[in-house]
Amino acid sequence: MFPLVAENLTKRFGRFTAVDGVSFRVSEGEIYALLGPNGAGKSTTIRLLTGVLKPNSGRAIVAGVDVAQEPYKARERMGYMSQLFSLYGDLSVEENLRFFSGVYGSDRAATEEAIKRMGLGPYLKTLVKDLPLGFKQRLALAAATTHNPKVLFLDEPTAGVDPEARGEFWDLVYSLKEKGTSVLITTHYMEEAHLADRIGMISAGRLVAEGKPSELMRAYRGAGFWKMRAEPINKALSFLNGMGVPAYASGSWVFLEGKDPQAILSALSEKGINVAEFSERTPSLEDVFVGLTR
Amino acid sequence: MKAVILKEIKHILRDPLSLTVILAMPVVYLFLFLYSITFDIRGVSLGVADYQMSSASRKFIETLTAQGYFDLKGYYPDERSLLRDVSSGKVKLGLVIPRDFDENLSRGRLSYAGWFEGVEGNSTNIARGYLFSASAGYVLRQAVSSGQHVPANIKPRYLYNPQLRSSWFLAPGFSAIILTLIATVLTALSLVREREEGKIEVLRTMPVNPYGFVVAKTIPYVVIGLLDFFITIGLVALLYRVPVKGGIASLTGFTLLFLVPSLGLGLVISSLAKSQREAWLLALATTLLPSIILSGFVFPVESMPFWLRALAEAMPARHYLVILRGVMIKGTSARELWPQALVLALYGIALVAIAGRRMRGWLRGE
Repeated sequence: MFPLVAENLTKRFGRFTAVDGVSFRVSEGEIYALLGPNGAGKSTTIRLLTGVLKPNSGRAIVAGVDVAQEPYKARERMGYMSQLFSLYGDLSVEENLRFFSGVYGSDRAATEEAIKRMGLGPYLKTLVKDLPLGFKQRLALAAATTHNPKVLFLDEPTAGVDPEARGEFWDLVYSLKEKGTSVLITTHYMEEAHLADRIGMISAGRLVAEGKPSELMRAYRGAGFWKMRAEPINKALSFLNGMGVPAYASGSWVFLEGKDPQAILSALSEKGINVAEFSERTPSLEDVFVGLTR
Repeated sequence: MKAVILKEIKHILRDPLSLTVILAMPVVYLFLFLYSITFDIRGVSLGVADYQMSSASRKFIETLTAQGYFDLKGYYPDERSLLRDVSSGKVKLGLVIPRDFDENLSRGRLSYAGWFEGVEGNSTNIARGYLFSASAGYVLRQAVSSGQHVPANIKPRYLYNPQLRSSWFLAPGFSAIILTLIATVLTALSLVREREEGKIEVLRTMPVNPYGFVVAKTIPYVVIGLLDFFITIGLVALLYRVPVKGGIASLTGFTLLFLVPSLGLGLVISSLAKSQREAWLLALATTLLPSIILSGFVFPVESMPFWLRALAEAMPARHYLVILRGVMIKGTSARELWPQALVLALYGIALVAIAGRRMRGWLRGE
């Protein structure tokens, strides 16, 4: 049994279809990342899965419970954390946790454990508005997990947090994964997507690709991704972009994309640009993503 | 439910300034209101130009000043100098006693000319009332002492407010206003705050019944509202000796009944307002002004034009005020006040239903 199942989820707002037949399954202890540009339907998908919105068709199932049928029962088994953190600034860390664990009906021991796991012990009496951003994020995660949810939804949880705090946050997410929690996360950061077990790519409300990060990158090998050294590099880049060829610098390399490498090479030499070590490369997640959503 | 109530109480306690304002405001305002809005005017400054200069005319002036309503500033040699001081406001009432004052009096007629400064309509009216009743009393006494036949001597007695003290009928109204304001503003603000900061988004994913959540959030404010109510009623009873003839229990019951529409209004406002500022403005506009102007707190509803009267009768505060004055001053039994109670109950049901409908949308995110 999969703790989280999306079955053909569809949501329309008037004539606009925000989510269009999205299906996926997340296993126990799996981290599944939804990737997509703003407005692609990530947030709407999460709202359908948490029962905040009702789908026009399709089903969302959390820990065996149909979310639209029995929202309260399903919500007892899920945790949700958003980029806004939704904590009460005028209350202390402890008081915030008391409130959330009180609403979820968590027992004291589980709350104590969440405090320990998130390293919040020294800050219990601190008012949340005085807390550094990284700790706010940890507290929000603790607040969403005192009831040991089967499924955890993280909606852009690391937006605006520095890379170091982001790394620490992922360590915490991994510790939850080891306990068997299934995690659905949405993010903008490509390097974060690499940390997920599987990725679902969303574009214009549709799930356009799905797989492990390495699988996705391998699947697009041979789809016209190249690298080369060029001299002078700036002239090469502006020429390529002027031709409509997607190209960018990465260290001393130029990464580019194109179906007809011969034509690109001859055009470059006509312009007097020296090219060396032209070869195929494995696309990055970003390449895959940009290629899919273009 | 318990977690929500506890959280709300912590919010309130965390902000000692607001708490002080909530609890101290009724006390401070009570004193301001009751000392400033009193209709018992005393010591209206009086100037006299007496062309008769008889013992009868002096006696008449003494009657006016004896009860303390008028304060004699001085005699003037002629009408002109008297009028100059009336115009400049040095004296509020100028009395001119004519040369034939005694002669008229012997025929049973009191003759004088009274000049009021007349800038403030209300106090002028009251002073005029004093002048007329004092004059009538004087004429009657004159008639009785000279053995004339007196057709009738009307002496009104006031059943429930024997000394016609204005504090007796203002104080209950004041409590009603404070109660409406506090209940409506605080509920509206606390819910708008919850929404403004995006908290609702998370609450929607939690196993909370939205209606239970709203009810739990309003409970602390019911308690604060009742607390404020008891503070003001207690002070009013102690300081102004306003009786609570109908008993505290029936007063509390009616107050709870009145809190329901007030809280309901707060909820409706919170569903309309996009920010705390808007919530404030809406709450002030819908509670404070109508309850001061239209409840009969100061201005008698009976003397309003028909359309305004209809509007006034539509205000919950108006009916609550009738109940309060009834229970406190007259000792009206709860059974006799059922029409007012019914109106309040209907308002409560209607406003809570509207609030429920409006909230369902934003609590569920649709």
